[in-house]
Amino acid sequence: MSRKQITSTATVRSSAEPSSQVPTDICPVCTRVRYLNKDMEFLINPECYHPMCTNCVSNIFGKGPAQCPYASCTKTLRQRGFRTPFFKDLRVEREVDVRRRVQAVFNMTPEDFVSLRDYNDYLQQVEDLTFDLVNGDEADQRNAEQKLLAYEQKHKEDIEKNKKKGREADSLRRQREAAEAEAARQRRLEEQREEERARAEEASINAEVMEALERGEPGTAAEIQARIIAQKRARVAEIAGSHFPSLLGNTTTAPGSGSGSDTLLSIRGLKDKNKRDEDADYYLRPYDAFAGLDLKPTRYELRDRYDNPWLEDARTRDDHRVPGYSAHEYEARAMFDAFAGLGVFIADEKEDAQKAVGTAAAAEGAKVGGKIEEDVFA
Amino acid sequence: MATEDARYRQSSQYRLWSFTPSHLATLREKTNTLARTHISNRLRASDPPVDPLPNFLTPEEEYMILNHFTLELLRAAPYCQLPTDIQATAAIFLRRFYLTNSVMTYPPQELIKTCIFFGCKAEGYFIRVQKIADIFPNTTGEMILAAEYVLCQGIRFAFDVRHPFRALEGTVMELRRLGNFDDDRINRAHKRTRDILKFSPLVTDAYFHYTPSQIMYAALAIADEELVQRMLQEAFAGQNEEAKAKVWSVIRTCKEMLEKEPPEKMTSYWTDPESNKAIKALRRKLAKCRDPDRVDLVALQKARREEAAQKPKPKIASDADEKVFGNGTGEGRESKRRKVAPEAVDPFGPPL
Repeated sequence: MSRKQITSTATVRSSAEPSSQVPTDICPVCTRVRYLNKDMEFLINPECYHPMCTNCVSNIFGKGPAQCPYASCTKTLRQRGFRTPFFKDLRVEREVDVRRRVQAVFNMTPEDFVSLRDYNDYLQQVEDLTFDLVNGDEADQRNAEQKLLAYEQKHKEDIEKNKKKGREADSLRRQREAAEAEAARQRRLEEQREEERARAEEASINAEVMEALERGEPGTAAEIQARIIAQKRARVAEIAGSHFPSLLGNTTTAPGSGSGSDTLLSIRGLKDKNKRDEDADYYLRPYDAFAGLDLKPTRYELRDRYDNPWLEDARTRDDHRVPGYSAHEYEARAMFDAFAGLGVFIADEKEDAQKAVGTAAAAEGAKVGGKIEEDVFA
Repeated sequence: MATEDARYRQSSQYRLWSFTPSHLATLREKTNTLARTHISNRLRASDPPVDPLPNFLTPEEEYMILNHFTLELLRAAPYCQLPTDIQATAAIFLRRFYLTNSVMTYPPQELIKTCIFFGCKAEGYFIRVQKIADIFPNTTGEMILAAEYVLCQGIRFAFDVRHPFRALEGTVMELRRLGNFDDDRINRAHKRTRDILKFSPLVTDAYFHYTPSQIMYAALAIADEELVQRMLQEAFAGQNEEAKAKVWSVIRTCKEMLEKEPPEKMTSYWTDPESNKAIKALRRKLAKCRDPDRVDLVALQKARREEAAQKPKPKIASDADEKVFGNGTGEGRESKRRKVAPEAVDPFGPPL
């Protein structure tokens, strides 16, 4: 059932837009049929994406540039521009080409932006432009094309630099991967060698015991054997447990990033590369669970012990003790409570809050309360 | 900047539930007018329309009713054998709730029980609803639970209430350590302050205007002012006098507020004929201007539940299938058509 559905839509589409699919059997230009020519191939030119067979291409464009043989197409094509389409659907082929082109021009990375939001805005802008190029009508396409060209003209340097950076990052990554693979190989070899050595040591135990007996060392035969075996064991353990020299440590360091750039026109939120990176600074600092809140008391000093008859039982009697409860924690909390908020003057601090927009939060709360009451049982 | 204050400023009590007196008054007025317009609209729309409209409560009268029911709550809570701070939490929940909701909208005698039950929950003291329902006459667990979600919304999901009780213990420990006063005096002040803290701040707006430690020192100042001075001297040692004087002035205003509602009022209030008469009149007035939609919260809750249950769930799966496979199974389509048919009325009306 479903297949039927799909084929029917496919035929409808192909009849509506004949040039959107690469033909399979008949060349639309010379109407030659595949039946007579088994290795017929169809080519397209990214100027107009009109498919035609190789014969047509060499016949029409062999002697130099000529107009596209399709009726109503006025593009002038050259033989050099023809290639085999990768996708059967030529609209997809065209979209991929357009995206590749746009991507080559708008090639900034998230690191170039101040925040993720800015980067996403930039991506959205680029996508809008791409969409216009791919799916827009004549005017949209022309507009987008102009924008793209203008941007390319204006930011030629930056684009080039980004491209280079991308290439460098690529090659760096490749280098690193190669170095890692090499290190792993070395490690494996080393391990093999050491295993062999350990096995050889083990194999020579018997011979050594015999030698020692011959030399007439002190002690019984059993003792000698035990001693030699212990020695061997220690040596084998030493070989097996030795540390490998770390080959990962000497990878090349990343090259310093380029110097500052001029500010870009339409794209906002780009990082000023001359400025110090505060974000990075923040992440380099040690993690603070309380986000900078200082827990050291200023109005009192927490003693080790306070006199409190109510707490005596909890401290001394076993049947009152509970895991996880500490009388000292209680004391710390009580002391904190006694002094916390002593210097908070609500009458002053919330004064401007009432008028300011901020506590419109409170006023809004009241409003929300009213609204909620509507919602709940409405 | 003292670190203790910075830590207190992080609490929801400071962020959401601290107001200046004038702000609090405007909030109450606003709540009152909102409820007034809502209820009068409702009464006018009802069939037959209520005419003339009843006299609505003023914000001051609402406040008196709220105070009355806070006292009721404090009277009822000991019967449930609840610790002090749970009682206090329940009382504060009630007061916070009626800051943005009017007593004319939600019946306070119902909310009291919900506040007690929910206060237990918020303080991690888990108790059966039935147990509380058994204590109050003519109450079922369902009635208690009906207003629970409304209460949570009303208190803006700020379940953490900072109380001055533990602060008092800290202060007493510190006073004992300082050793300038004999134990009897400290113990006497401790007991008196505890009694005050259990009552006075809960029936005034102290929790909205002052921090727990300020309330605690104010109560302690009522009991024994010298102890407070000694503590402040300790806390502000090495700082300028100005800061200390400012704190002291705040504590004094708080003290004045607390002194208006001494703990003795808890017993005298119920026997005082004057207050009884006043509240009786107010309750009669309240009964006339109540929001008729919200008198029976249980029925409302039930209706709402049913409505939610009957709401047809969107048929995502079958729709998606049809989109993928083109013409889906016949019956799915058939039912869809049937569903659409009665609604397929021309939005521009029938032909002329």
